[in-house]
Amino acid sequence: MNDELLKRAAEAVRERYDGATELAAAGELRVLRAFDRRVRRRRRAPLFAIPLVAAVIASAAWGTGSARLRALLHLAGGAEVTARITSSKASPKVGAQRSAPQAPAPLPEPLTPSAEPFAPLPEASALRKVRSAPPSARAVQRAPLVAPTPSSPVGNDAPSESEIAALYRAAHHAQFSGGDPSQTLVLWDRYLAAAPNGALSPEARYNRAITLAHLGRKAEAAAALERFARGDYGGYRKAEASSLLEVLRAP
Amino acid sequence: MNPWYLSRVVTGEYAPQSIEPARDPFLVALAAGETDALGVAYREHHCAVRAFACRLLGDDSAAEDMVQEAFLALPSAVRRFRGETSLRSFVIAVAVNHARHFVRAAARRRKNVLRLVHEPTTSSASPDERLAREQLGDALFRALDQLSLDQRVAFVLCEIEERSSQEAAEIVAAPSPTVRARVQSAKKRLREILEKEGFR
Repeated sequence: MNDELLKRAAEAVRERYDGATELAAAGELRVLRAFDRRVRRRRRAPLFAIPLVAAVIASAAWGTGSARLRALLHLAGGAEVTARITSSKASPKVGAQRSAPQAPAPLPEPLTPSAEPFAPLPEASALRKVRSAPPSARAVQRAPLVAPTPSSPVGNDAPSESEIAALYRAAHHAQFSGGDPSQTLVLWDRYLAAAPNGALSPEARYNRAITLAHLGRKAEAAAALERFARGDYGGYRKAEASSLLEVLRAP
Repeated sequence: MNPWYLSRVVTGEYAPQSIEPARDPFLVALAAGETDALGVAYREHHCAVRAFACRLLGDDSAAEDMVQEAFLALPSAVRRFRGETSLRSFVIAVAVNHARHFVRAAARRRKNVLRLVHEPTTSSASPDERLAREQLGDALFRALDQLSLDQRVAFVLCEIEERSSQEAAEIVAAPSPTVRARVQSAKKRLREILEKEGFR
């Protein structure tokens, strides 16, 4: 086959289509309308984006203001939070076991506060209501369980992040799974002594105040809650603390 | 848009190559998305773009969609236009940039039609010259479906539309020798395919 046939084929195609159409005007109208629609859609697009952006900014501001975002980030970063947590519930001093790698251990018990942890106070209905869904419990449950690595920092006097997290989880577990309030208070104090300005310290202080209330130490509880109600921690637990204060101060 | 300028465009006095593109009010209006300017561009160039689209795709409705897509993309694309080619070639270049999807769709449609209707494939099937040419054209489109998009575009521009390799090179934004090489490869492959189909 030579080029002749290919040329004839190209010629046939060229003659078949010359680009002329009787519907040119309709085609133009179609293009202009479609273009107009596209332009209008583009102009409207930012209007739809504004509420979305506002919602994201508001969420970020709320998360930052309420210290929950920091707490979540802290927990998400603490991948080395380990099965040691279980043993640290009873004895938070875990330094003796640091040098050897450990196998991952299961969670001790579910941390959901389904069981009534403490004997109810006479005026504790409000307390129960506030405690019904502790956000920190949900956050702690999401923390990944990874076996500790042998390279974990050892030998410092200051507790490591994993130890601090273990202390927190021990206290939290004690509070929300029916532990003894006195023991719970000790565990919260240990956590706060180890990390007085830790990412979870606002939640720890709040939970400690609740524990004090359960122990009947109303004045101390009210003093602790007063800071939340005053807004020392931004909006974090402000409303809950205010309602608890009303209950505690009721005659 | 300046009506005086519009009249220049319509009467054909408009010569984009000779005008500084950045200061060309027509192009500025087009880039700004003025529908008047887009309408003028459509009226001026739709025939050439449609002819190219039909010759590339072999499918009227797909070609119409491709023409529409090219003109819809023109206002934003024309911001890159520097006047190296004519506006007509530039619009065809915009169409080429949007061709891939339409080529696939047209090829798919042709394949489906072939499954349903057994078309005669050889020119000897009919003594009628006109019918033979129709069949030859159809066979060429089936063969074009088997080429790469680059080869297909180069063949259509140079062999069917009879543009120079320089002009085709400007449209596809590739060097001239590359375009010529694509055309040669396309012709070689098309010959093989048409021979297989029984055309001699």
